[in-house]
Amino acid sequence: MPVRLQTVAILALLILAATLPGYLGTAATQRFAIDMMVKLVFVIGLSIFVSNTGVLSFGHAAFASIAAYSAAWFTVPPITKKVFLPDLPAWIIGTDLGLWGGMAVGMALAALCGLVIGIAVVRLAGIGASIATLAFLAIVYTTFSHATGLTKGTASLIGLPLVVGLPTATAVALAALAVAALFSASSVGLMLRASREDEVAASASGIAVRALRLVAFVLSAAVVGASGVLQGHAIGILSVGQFYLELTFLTLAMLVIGGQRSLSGAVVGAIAISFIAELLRMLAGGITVFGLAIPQMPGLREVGLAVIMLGVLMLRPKGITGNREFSLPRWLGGGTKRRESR
Amino acid sequence: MTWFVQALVDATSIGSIYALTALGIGLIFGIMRLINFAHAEFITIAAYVVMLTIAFGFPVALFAAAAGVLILALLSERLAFRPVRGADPSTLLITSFALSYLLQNTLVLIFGARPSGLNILPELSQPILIGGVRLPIIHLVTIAVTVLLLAATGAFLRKTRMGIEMRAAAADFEMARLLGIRANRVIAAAFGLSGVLATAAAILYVAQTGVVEPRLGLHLALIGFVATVVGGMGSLPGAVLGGLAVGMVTVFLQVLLPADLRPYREAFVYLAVILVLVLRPQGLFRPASARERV
Amino acid sequence: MALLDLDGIDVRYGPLPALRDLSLQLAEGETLGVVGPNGAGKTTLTLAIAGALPLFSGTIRFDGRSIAGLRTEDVSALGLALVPEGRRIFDGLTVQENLLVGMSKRLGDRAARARALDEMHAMFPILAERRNGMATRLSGGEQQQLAIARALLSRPRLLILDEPSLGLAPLMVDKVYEVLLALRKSGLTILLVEQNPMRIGIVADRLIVLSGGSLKLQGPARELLGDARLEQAYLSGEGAPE
Repeated sequence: MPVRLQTVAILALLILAATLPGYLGTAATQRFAIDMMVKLVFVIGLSIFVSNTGVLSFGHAAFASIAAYSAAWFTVPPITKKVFLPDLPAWIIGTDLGLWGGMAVGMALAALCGLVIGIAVVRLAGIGASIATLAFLAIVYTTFSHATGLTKGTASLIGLPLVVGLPTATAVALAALAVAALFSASSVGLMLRASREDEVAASASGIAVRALRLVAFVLSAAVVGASGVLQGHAIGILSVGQFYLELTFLTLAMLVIGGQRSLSGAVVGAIAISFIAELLRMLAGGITVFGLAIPQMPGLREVGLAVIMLGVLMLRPKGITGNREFSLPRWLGGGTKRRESR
Repeated sequence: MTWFVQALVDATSIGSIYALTALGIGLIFGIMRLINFAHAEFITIAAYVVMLTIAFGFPVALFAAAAGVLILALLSERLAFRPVRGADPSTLLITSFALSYLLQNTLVLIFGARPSGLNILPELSQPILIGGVRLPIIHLVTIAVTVLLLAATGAFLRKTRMGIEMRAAAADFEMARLLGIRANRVIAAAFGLSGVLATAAAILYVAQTGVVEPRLGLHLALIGFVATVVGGMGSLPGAVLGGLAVGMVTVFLQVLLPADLRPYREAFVYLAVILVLVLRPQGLFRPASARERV
Repeated sequence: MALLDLDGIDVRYGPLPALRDLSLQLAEGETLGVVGPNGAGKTTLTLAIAGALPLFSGTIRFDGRSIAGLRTEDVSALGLALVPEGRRIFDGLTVQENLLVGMSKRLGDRAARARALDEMHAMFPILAERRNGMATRLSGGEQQQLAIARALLSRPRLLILDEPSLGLAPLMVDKVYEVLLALRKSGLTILLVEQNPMRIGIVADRLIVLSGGSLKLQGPARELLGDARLEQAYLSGEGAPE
């Protein structure tokens, strides 16, 4: 079912409500809220492809990586670039575009890479497509790890201007929500979802479906790219390892747990898992409860998330939202809750 | 010539480990259409069991690792994969991804993320001289053990009732069940065999690298996926050949590429995978008629 | 009591109905022909009886015991064998290995199994001749013989065949029907599906006509084959969803 205006409104309010801890508390809670928005942009971007086509992607972290680094090439102060990124062309070293210029560059490059790899991905059915995206992730990871003159490799690239605060991150998240909703309601989105359940019909009708899927893939890559740019400029540090299997797992978990076939699922999953992950992280970092010291347990957060994800897959495979989109209850003038056909 | 022989032995040795990994992954894929990410942790956990038991001698460690991973593989099948069996392939995929992540981080929780050194059979790291070529014994042992294991697996698949049932199930699972083959038994057996192969790959790999860490199996499993794709998904001989091919290509790229491109050799391997997927989805070693049933 | 008893079964693919409120009985030793146009639900019927498709509603009894909801392999173990549409010979297995997969424990000890295999080799000499060759290298007709032999090796009490003559040369069709006649004579209960009703009268005692997922006609084969209503049922069923 297409995403309706009231769904977008509900989701936007939900997003705004989720950021509240960031305004009330300490620097730590603010960082948490910003990170939640960053992940939200990623998962919304991912869902533009996954929700509408039904094909899983393991490669979107690569788009975040590409966009994050290419944006940084245009936002890190030239003096820093000269020292840390000596392999950049001179004109790039000399250019400073600021956050939004950098974001535009990053998203454009992510979209371009999405176009190239997307041509291969949309030709493949189900598992083949997922493996291709995984191979793409490995290619970008390996390349960026060793291109030290452009990325600092596995060491951290520092010196990104810290220009992304909570309001900026929230604004981008709301923009991503709007883009995803518009796409879902567009004729392209409608046709894609009609072909989603039926690979055979999809490949039989051939080129048309492939072209539509490609559109979704490129748009999805660009939005996920924005998430990478936000991340870099929210914490000021980039490392290649931030954008590998860890991030892939976390964001896929958010999407699957929320409900991988709907935009509401993406939003709810990202927010819910952000909160749960933060709780688990605090627990893993070692805390004292009623005078009882719980020691540090690195890995606990990840184990907890994996258990939740397995539980959802087995007990509620359609995710928290059951793959439905939110709508107002009928007494408030909303439509009936229709079940997503699947 | 010397460099060539040396590179060839290197390539065959690392290709052997890849082949064992790919075969373990290919077995499960063939029957269940499941790409088992958790195969990575089957390998890693075998290495940890060896680390914990090596003090009792190598035979004990070998047995403990094989038994441990066998149990782990059977439990994974029973607890994680059976409940989602018959779901769409992407659900299976994501389930195995989650299980892999769970096991990997359970290891982090128990042992920490730092690598530990592990010298399984120190005497094997000595090189021997054959006709002026220095060859590490471990490479020769790896090749020999792999040949033996592949031969044994091949004999099992061809000569035993269970092996024939497994191949039938891999070719057409529903038809096999229509003929009375018990799905649970065949799948459990495939997981068991896959676990044993993972143990062998783990021991040979750690004997070469001497390091154990929670992400140890990840690299091998990724290469294993690549190898099964290159060999043609669902084909067991294809998986073995694919593993060898990936080993060969990696080592020879390392030797032949200009120095500044060498670090990127794995990127080339992964790129090749995408090309194979698009251009020859039936794999490199099968005729075009043998396309994967969807 | 009927050996096979279907009572009001419904089968659906997602929301699409493939079989609607279908009931039929098959007595021990009887040969029932099932005919109908393309998309009538014939293959669905065979897979549902064999336990490979879940029922939406209704019951299936085999030898008095309800088999709806049983696992596919357990249905097979009760003595129900299917020679499916397209034969579905195992790729990568030899002729002999294909037969071994079909061989059931119910045959008895090693000697009994060897005897059963010899019987099949006598009935289908080509399978003995090509025993170590790859099964998918056999011709279509030879593959059909292999599929029938593979099913018979489970010592079934009910043999279901789905369009065994599809795509075969006329000579091969004769061979297949010769075998079916012999099996019928031996007292085996057979459910035979064919799209083309012409030959089916040779072996079938009784015919049912499926169209659009439900039963349109039934009666003794001899009577129905001359009946104009048979053609009618075919024409009315064209274009129905599979």
